[in-house]
Amino acid sequence: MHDIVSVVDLVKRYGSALALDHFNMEIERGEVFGLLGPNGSGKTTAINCILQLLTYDRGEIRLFGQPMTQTSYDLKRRIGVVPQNVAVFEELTVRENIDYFCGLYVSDSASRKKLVREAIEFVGLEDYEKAVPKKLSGGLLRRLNIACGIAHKPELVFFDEPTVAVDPQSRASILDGIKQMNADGSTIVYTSHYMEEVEEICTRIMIMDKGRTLACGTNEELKQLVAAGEKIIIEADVPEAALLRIRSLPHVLTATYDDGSLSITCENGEHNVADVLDELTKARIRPGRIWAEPPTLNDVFLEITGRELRD
Amino acid sequence: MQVFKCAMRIIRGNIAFPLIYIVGLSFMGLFMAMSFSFGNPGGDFERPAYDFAVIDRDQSELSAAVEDRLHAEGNAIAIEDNTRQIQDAVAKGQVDYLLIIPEGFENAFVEAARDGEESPVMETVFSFYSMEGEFVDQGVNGFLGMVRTLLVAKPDASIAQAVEEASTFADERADVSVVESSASVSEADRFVFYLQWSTYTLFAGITVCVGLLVTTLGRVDVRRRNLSSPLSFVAYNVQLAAACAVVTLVAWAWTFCLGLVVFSEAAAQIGPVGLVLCALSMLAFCCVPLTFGLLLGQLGASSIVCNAAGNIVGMVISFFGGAWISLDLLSPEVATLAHGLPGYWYATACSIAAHASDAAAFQTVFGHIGVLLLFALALACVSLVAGRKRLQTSEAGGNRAAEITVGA
Repeated sequence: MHDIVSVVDLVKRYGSALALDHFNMEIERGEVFGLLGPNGSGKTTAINCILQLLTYDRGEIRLFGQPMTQTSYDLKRRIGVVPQNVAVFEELTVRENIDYFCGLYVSDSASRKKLVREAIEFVGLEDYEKAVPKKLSGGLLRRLNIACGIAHKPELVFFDEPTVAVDPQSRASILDGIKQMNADGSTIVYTSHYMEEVEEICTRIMIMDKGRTLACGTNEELKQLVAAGEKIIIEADVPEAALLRIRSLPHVLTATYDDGSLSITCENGEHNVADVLDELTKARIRPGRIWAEPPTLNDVFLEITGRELRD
Repeated sequence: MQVFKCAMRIIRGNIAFPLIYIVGLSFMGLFMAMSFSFGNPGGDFERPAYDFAVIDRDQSELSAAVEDRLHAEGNAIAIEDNTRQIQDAVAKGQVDYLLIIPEGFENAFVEAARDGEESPVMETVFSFYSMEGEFVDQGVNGFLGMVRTLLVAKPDASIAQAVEEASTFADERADVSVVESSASVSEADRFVFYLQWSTYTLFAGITVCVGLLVTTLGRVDVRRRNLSSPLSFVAYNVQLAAACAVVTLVAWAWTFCLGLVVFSEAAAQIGPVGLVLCALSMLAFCCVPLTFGLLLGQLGASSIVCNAAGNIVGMVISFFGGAWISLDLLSPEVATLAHGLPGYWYATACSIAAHASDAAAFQTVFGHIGVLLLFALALACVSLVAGRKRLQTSEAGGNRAAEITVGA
């Protein structure tokens, strides 16, 4: 399949600082591609370079199989951008704002009218069409920001941290909308430093830090990279002898007991919880609450970089 | 035309600014021009009346004479000799002139006159509401000066004789009558005054509107969104420039036409060529706030900053253009300084254009228009450089944004 976005060996410097260090990225049509990394990792710089909002020192960027330049207006027409900050006009109403940005892509007023109406319905701003942005809550503003970026029904949409400073309800609504857009045929590039969001909506994820690609793959593929596959926590009175036997189980990496809580990290495996419970039963220990946590993308990031994603 | 339409909507969203600055202030200019007058109706001269109070602690012949002189033309207000009453009289403006004659004043006055020393002083307070007190005090001192002169000239004369003789002299007054002024103000003069006063109207109004437009459309996030779209840089800048030009032209047309409608007789007095030159002068002047607003916008000035800058600079330019006080009444240094500001060239161009009758005068007006356009050009260059510098900052959006010069 043709890559809809292809970035090869991209280098971007801000003075002496290296923002993108031989960055590579390939995105196929129909994907929801997540760019995950801590603040300052180069996500927004990468997006801005792809959109030609920033010049770059080296590398090649192709969109829809064609080289992307500052004057690639035909390519730009097929792209939608939802920037990190709300970029709308305070003086214009919700409808006028969407109409303005849609009008940059669609000149026919009849078609645009229909598209604007659909965008308003898509983000659920029907009741606020004539409201000016300062009358909208933070969540509604974010929805307006999205509507302005997607009203012209682009084939490729860049979402740059669209859920920053958004309440949980609006966040869920935004994520549902993105999934719907993808289902309708748009390819999505989604940057975030919220791993839960990326895990929820992205079909493929790239983890980056300090301008470099650390890992790329599906959620499951990335988690396979982590030695610690699962964390099991059991509330029970565990004597030292039982703790030693648990530690000696084949898939157990670590086991610690503290204040009535037994924490075990295991390698990837299908019977980790059953094996541990068997051992406890043999030791005549009656467990209280038991829960198991699968590895997260934060664990992946920790494994690769030695530090937390949110450090 | 999306950017142009958006710009017009932004102006609509801030309609209070053009309404206040361009419509409201132009009407103010009209009223001022209509009340503009040089002439005097003529008739008898009437001395202005004043309210006075005398605290006489000397109770001498001299103090009584001074009080009599004040009584002759003023209204005496009774005030007790205590601090509270005196303070109230002064603070509440009950009197225009308050005189406190200290005890032993007459003796000290006579001794000083005989010995050739300085006369003792009396305590006086003038009302801050009017200038009458100042003039009354000059009259009192004039009277005392005459008494002193008589005492010096006639060493044998008593104080009573000196006071009586001085009073006789003081009663002699020159006959005063008011002659009707031959100077009269024509409709053309009023129209020119209106045009000159519009310096402030146009400068503040256009600066605020254009500054607001360029700032709003040049916001980093919005600009990035625009740059991500298929809209070309040229199309964007052309539309923005067109919007700024429309704002300027509307302000110019409104201000000029309003003056022409109200002072309709001025058109006949000035003639078509003069009117066209006046209109061109105003249009050239309008280019200055247009570029100044552009500069503010390029610097990302907020609405408050645009308002403040438009008003303050507008007032300074108006003042130095002689719109409020004729430059003839100001010092030569101020007049020289005025040459460095566009208001002077505009005001002078209007004045010459309205009264011009020969080709030399018309050439002078065109020269002034040229100077105004140079002011605008200089500001435009500064704004483009400033905008470029600002866009290169990381805050404004990085190096790609630096390649875009809004409004170019």
